[in-house]
Amino acid sequence: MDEHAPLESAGIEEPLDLVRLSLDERIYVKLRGDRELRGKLHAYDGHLNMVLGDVEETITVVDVNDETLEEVIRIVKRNCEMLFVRGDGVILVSPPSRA
Amino acid sequence: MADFFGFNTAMPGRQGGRVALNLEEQQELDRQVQKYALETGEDFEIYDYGETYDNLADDLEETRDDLNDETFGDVQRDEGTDFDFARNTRQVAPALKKEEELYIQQNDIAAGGRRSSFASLWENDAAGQQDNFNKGLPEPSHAASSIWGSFSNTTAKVQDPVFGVGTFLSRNTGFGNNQPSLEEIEAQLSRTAGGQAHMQMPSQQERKMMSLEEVEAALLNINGGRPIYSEAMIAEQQAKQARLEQRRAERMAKQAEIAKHNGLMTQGDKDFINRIQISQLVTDDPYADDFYCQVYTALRNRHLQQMGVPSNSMGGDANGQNDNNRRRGGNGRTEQRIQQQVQKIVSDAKRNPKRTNVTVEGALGKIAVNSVLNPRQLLQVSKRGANEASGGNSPKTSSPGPVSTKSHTVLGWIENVYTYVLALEQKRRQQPPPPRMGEEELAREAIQRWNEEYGILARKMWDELRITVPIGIVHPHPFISILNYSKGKKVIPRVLRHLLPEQTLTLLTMLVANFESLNVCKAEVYADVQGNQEIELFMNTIVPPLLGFVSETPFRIVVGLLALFIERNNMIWVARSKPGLAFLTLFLSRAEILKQGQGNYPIPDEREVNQWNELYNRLFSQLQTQFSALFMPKATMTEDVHVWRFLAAMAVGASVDQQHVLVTEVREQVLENVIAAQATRSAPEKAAQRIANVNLFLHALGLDASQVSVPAM
Repeated sequence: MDEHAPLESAGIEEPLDLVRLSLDERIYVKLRGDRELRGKLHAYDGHLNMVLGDVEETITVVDVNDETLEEVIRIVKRNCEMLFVRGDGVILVSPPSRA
Repeated sequence: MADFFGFNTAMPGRQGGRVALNLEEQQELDRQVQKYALETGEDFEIYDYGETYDNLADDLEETRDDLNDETFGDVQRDEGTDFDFARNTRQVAPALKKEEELYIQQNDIAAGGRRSSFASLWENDAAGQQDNFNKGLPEPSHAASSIWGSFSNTTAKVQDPVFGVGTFLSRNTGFGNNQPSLEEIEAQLSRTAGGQAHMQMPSQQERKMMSLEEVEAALLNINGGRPIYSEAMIAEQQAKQARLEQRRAERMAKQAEIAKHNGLMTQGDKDFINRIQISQLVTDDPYADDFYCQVYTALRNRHLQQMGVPSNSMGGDANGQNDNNRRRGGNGRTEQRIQQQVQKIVSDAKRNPKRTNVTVEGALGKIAVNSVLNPRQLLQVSKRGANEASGGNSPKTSSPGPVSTKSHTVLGWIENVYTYVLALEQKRRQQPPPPRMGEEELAREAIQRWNEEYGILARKMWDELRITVPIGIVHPHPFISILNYSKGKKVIPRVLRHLLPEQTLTLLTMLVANFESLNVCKAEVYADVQGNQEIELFMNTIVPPLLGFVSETPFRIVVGLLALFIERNNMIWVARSKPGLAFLTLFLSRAEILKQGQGNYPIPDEREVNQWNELYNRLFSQLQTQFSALFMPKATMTEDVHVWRFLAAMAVGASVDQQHVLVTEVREQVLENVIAAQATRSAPEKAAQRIANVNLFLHALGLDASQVSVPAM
């Protein structure tokens, strides 16, 4: 039971405790490779491997025109019902920004 | 060194030849040849002719062959078939071909290196020789190369009498550097010179002939002795066969590669490896360490049982195992063995408590035993909580203060509730067994200890729920804040299982008292999908267990709860929400049941009934003129079931006047539904649903939808 020791009322002792608070909540995850995820956090572990539900993935693609060297930014979105995120790609985890 | 690939290399008819040299001369000659070869660095067979040629041919008479015919007879004369080699060869051609293929294959497989010497043999030897023999003939096909090889070899023998010993020897040396030295061959020759050679003559002859026939057959083939199409077909077939052969060889090689390691490990070795692997996974506490598997198995078993399939538990009782074996057939034995292994490991693990390190006798260090459950620790982080505990002052733990309701604080509470709920569920699974004969004292102790631990956990959970925080200090109330999160709602059914009845009542009271601050009561939550999900969640998680609780409460408590409900909340506001209506319906119907003397409680006395009636009238007056507004705009008929249910509950307890008011107010909705149900275009099941909904209410009034007269439109 050590890993699930109760949090003190103010009690955030390590960064992952903050992630634990977001269980079953929608979160925003920034990933390597210009990817972002928004979804409900079902589970996570110490590597920040995560299982997200009802996910919207946003991929930012920069297309460079070969001739003019002009950069065109394209945003690709896709939705997944359930997604396993491998922790080594995670840059940032946060509650979704309140619009 | 008597033969080379089956060909006898012993020299035929040596002593009969005119050029027989004595041993010293022979050796001297060979030494010279070798010396020359060494000096020039070249293969001496190239020069052997010049070196060793004995000029015997010079003595032959080249001219004056006019009388040959007289000497030998007519050339055109029929010689019989004794020397018709070609025909004989053709008869055995297929067999020869096969033999040759085999021979080539063997060589291919056996000695790649030797082939090059063959080729060189061909080049050096046969090319020259061939010219001597068959001038103007086309080059033999490549497939016949070995024929040519053997041909040239035997040709040399044929001409032995002409070329003499030296030539023959040098030919032999031409087979490659790995051939024996000249001395060796000579020693061999001198040994066989005895007359043994004579004895060998017949077989020698035979072989010679055979190879000549082969040559002829090959030549015939090349020269179009056979039709061309069959040639192509044969080639194709050969290629096909070769491909198949190659594929088969590859497959065999692969199999051999794998099979090479067969039988390296004994069964004992395999078991040992299995034990090591499985021992990493064995645990005393499957529910904590393998939670998802356990729960999944339980759920699946339940599902299978519903489907009528006999259960098949993970642990595997005897029956289950047999079942498995029968179904999986061949795998049964392996599985059984693994199961035995597992059992052995589990019992071992139970006997020896887990050790984190091992000290081997005589070793200088300790060996850390890491496993899935005990991974190597990389960081040593001292917990603040531990420090506080050792310091002796831990004010926070005992009484969780009703601080702010900032989101992360509330989320922290919820997480703590989950922690304790999980701990309690774990405790329940570890409940001590009922006392056995003779061990009552021991068992009682265990039970008492268990009860204490359980009680402590339950109290901690109760504290974390913050239900007892006085109303009005923070808004919304902490418990309501917890319920405003979906995971807070989800945990309630699990929490209620560990609560005492009075705690549940407190929880219900607190919920009812603060009902309107629940987010599911806010009108705007009906607007979006997520809000509707929250309402569904509330209806599915919180209402059912509390409905179960209320349906066992005495009248007095129902009256008290409804009084608090009406007192503390804006009824019009609350009644417009699905959960609010659900709770109102719950109290009303429960009160009605108790009033009629059903349930296990005595019929309430007059004072209580009066109290109830007073409450009812208050509720009715508050909701009067609002009844039709309870129906949600654009609601489908399945979504307004709860409204009809509530109206029915109201109608049952209503006085005649109140009933009249009710009917007047919702008359429009009743008519609307009845008309919609009678409309021809609506589906029959939908129509039935509408009528059923309306009847919920009408039956409470003693009416029926069939009595409703639809005004002509």
